[in-house]
Amino acid sequence: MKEQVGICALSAYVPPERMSLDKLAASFGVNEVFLSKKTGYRKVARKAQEEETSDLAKMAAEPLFQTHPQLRERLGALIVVTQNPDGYGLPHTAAILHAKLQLPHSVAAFDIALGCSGWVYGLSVLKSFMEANEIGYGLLVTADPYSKVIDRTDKNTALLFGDAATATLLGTNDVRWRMGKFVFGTDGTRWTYIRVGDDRKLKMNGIGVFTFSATKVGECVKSVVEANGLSTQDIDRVLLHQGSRYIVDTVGSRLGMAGKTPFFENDVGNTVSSTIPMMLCDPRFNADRRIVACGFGVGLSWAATVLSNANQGV
Amino acid sequence: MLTETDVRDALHNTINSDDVFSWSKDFNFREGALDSLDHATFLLALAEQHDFKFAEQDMPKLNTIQVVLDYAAQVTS
Repeated sequence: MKEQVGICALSAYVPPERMSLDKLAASFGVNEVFLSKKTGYRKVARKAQEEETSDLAKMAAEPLFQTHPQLRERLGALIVVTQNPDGYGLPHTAAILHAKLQLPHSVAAFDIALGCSGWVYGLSVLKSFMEANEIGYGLLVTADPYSKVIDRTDKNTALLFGDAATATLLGTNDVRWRMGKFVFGTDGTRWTYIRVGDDRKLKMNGIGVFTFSATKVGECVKSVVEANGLSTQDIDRVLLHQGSRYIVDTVGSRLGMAGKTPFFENDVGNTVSSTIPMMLCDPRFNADRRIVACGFGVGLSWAATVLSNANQGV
Repeated sequence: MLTETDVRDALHNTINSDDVFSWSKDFNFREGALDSLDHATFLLALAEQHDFKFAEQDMPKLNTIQVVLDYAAQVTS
């Protein structure tokens, strides 16, 4: 029987610059309580002006090449999840990253244009691509710096989003997390809820996104647990996309799993498709046996899977 | 049938303040008492616990106890 592709390692990169949100919040008439209880972010990470998406991606991926010295020669596929690519999006950022990482010509490299659900979609796409083409190692990179499109005068978005990138190494050897079945979904009738307008600035219907998250994400989590023949008691943790503290807490509470849906305290912000893999980098989850990863957002779209810890015998 | 008590209880559960029991039925709770997220949470709780259906575009106007009761009566009639 062929070995199944799983997650071997993860790494993340957060640019060093932080933007404090306190003053900006005050200018919107928003107080500290709202920041800490609702958005959950008091500071957000900002890339340097000259830093490109592929630069963040490179910084995230490089540690994996150091810990896996043969990776450069063995890598077969590279996917970049982004909707804020280098330049104007042509060529695809994965090709630019391919050059910056000095990868061989044998590597397939392409982008996936998804937002906050992108890492989970990317896992499934890369796993399937690798298994179909007998590829030993693949790299899934998330890098979606919303600072490129943030409108600093927009209260709905200026207090939320931060810049970061992650890299997830998939392979058949030394697997840490096995992937179960996935569930996916889209509600294209709400595509306007998170979008970039003609002025190239991000627009978000915050209440619409919250209502969608509060109602749809719980269903998604329940569906994926059931699809994997499990019950919620079998799940140690639900890693939800960290849209905001209030969204995470609301979904957890409505699921009846509030103690299992952590909000990741940080001064980085909502980093779009990077929030779930950033959490999974944290060693505090190493002892968990089964984790649900659920991403949701732009589209509106959602996706979830169950990750089983290979080191815990599940 | 949604009652005034149902609405006040849902408001109380959302913001955990006894003030909601002294608000008049015409008090606009969007003016300082509930922020937009609290407001959405309150309406979702009503919808879940009392089979109260509301259209997303109508959310902004559901901002007093009386309006919520009138809306519920209209939707279910």
